Amino acid sequence: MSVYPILRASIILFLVIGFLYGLHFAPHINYYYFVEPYLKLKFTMYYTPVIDARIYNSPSDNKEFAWRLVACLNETGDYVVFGSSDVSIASSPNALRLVFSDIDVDKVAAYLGSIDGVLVDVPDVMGYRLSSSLEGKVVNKSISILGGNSVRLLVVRSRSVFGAGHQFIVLIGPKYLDLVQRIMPVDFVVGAKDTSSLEKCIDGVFNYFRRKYAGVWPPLRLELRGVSWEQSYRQSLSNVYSEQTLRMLELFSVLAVFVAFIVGLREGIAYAESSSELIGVLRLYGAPRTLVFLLGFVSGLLVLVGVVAGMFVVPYLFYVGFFGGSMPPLSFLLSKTWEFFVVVLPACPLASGLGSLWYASRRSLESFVSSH
Amino acid sequence: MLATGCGGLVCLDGVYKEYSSRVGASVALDGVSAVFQTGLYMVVGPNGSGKSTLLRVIAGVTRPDRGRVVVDGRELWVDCSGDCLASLRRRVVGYVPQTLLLPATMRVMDAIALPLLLDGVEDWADRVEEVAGLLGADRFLGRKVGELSVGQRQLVAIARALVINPRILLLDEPLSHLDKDAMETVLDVITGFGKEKLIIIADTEKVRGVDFDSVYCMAKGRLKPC
Repeated sequence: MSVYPILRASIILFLVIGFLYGLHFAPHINYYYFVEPYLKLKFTMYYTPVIDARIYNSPSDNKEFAWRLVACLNETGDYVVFGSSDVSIASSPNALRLVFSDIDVDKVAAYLGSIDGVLVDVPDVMGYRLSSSLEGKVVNKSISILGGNSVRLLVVRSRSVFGAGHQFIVLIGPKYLDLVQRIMPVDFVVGAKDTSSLEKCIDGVFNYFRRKYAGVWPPLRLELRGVSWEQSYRQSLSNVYSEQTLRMLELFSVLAVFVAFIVGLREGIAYAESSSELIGVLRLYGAPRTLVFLLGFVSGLLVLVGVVAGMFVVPYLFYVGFFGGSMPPLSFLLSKTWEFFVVVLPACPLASGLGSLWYASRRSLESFVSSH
Repeated sequence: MLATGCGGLVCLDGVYKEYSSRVGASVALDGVSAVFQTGLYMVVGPNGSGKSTLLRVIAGVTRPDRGRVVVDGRELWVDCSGDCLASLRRRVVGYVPQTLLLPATMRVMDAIALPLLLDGVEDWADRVEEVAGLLGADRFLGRKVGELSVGQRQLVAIARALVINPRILLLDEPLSHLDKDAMETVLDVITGFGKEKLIIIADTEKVRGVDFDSVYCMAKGRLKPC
């Protein structure tokens, strides 16, 4: 079996995908199409509580609201509460995944005894990093809401589109939960699959304040807006790019998949033709059909392996090597996007491999030995 | 009736085969009847006269539209079809198609041994080396088919047909790309192949220097002694 079609298919796909990566769309295409479906599987919800200003303005009410909110959240597992400043509170290192899915949580957990949290550096769309030299190091940072006290933060990098080009401080652990009322919670994200009990609990918090302010005019404005992670992601993405650019990104991505499909189909047929002599001679001498099937299956798998490997490795070299850009580490791509690559893209070469086997098998034996 | 009444290794009775295409139908075999006993036969005819179709019909690759084909006592497509035909080609009929049908990426050794391998023969290596040695193909046994010239591939295809020690050997233009030395070697091997076997060579011109038992001419799908 010739290996050239695999190489050709891989190289063409490298160029197409590498081109897109080279245009600095990579992180966003990556998230938009690869990581996002992964996150959707988590059923994560993003909540924005709309709280009457009278509660925020009352230190005791604000504190009570924060603690009742935390009590509700504690029943739901991992969560992150975003503050009105750049400081957020995470229930545990694992909760970081809810917002910055590419952060190495195990590494953060290993530091936990000696750090207060993480300083998340999100590169901008051009790959520029604010603290590239500090990545992986522990830094001291003074935080105003802590009265100017210094906290020890591990500098990590994330490609999350949430706040591209910004830095975030996430304090981790239960001892920081008493800060929730001081960071003025504006949003929170939870990782629970079933959020009905959480919503019921928060509804109870709202009812508590409604009863407390009963008869006060105007009535308290208390509302919990919950959107799926997907919706919030799209909203965040639209903050980074205009609608027109987003449509262009989609167009590029659709084109990439289309080209991948056409190339895969073409190469699959070329592959079948190159191996048709083998299929023909096996049929001439009566090879078992399972062997013929296996042949086509393996050829499809080889194309798959070539293409998938190429799509990982070459864009990585292309982008990092030629453009000096920052791309998600290969390990991250592999750990977070394998479902997409394994399920979606390989379907093209695999289908073409199996289809070409079917095409070759349905040919009459005569056509293999005939010059007609 | 014919299967039992066939007095030769191969009997053809009113074999008719037609190919249809967009431009119309063409008759490849037009009621061919013949009996091939053991011996060396030559079928001569111009391109498109039906020679290759005749050999394919005998090899059980092409099913005729009408007529009967008996090979080694079995009527093809009646007594023997499917796996039986493949088994016939692995054990009884050595067939060298015009297209050779040699996978380019396969090792020559494996390409020659393929019928034996698929037939479950275990000690095939010595047999392959022996046949390849006879044809002078032993020097490229370790190479891949794709690395060989067309003439060398013809030698490999002939070796693959001979390796099963067939009772019937069908050669479709087997000498077309061979140089003079290789041609003489192949003819020596074929003519000395065995008296109890049937060998049919099809070509556009009669092979010179070979004493054929019978020479047939083929024209417009019809077969007759020349």
